[in-house]
Amino acid sequence: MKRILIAILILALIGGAIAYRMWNKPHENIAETKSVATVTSSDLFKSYSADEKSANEKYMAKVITVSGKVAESKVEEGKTVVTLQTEDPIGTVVCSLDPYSKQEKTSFAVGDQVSFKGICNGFLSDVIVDRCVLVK
Amino acid sequence: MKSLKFSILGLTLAFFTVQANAQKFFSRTGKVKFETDSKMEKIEAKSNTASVVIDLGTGDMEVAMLVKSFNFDKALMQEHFNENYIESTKFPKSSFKGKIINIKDVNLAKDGPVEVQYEGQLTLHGVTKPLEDKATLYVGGGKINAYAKFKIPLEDYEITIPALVKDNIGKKAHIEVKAELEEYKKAQ
Repeated sequence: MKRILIAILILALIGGAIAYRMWNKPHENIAETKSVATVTSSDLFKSYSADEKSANEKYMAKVITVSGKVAESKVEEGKTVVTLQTEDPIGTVVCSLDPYSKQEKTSFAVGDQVSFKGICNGFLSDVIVDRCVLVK
Repeated sequence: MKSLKFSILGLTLAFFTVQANAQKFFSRTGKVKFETDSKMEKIEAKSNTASVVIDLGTGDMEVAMLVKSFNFDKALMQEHFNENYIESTKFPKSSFKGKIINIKDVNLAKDGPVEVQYEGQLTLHGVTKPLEDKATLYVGGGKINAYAKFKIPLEDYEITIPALVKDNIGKKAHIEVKAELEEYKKAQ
């Protein structure tokens, strides 16, 4: 009887520990995740403006690496958002730096050539890439 | 008397010309916060990549965001939110399209807060419903800081909460929108 009780107690503890770990599961580590595509800001914007649906199938909710020239770098409420120029006069790729990763650099000069790895979340009037980390 | 009438007409015309020439203001880094009351744990998500456009001439405005860009402190909560409640793969975008009714009260030359009344259509989870409320536009240094806060019943947007956690999650979502809008320039 005592043994059964101890066994149940151990099982409950293991179950509790698993539940606790699941509840506190960390966010996907972008720096350690392999990107499924490497693309320039111009090409990424072009795919989206040409055919949003097929671009979404290719990129949405996936970790991608996008490179381009900085159009603007902004810090608002402690969060950095960098927009990358494209060949389109208005369209950009908006890269929001990941709040869950350690960022070495949070300010970028206009015109700098940069490369970010992040999760592509889709298209508004710009392509949105969130949770970005700088790729060297 | 006649000359007075003409000068009023002239002034009105001049006013409308200025209004028609007024620029569009926009931001690509609008901040949206989604929050629901909860007994167990606070459910709070933030995004800082919403696009916001206000046309000072017509009062037309639009806020658009990608639902997947909402970040939760808990990764598990973010997964559940995307997969079970908001179904962000099926309905990736959320937007508000509408009008600021008293846009004429916004004067770029006069710094300070202006309370505005807006009305329009809010789309979330593939459901579009009318929404009207008040917002504040802070004019300063040729920029506009917009702030809006409103509540929406989750039920209206066909967002169903599983019976198991129903008592722990509030029936309404509090949405907060903040954006620093700059004058829209075509060339970069």
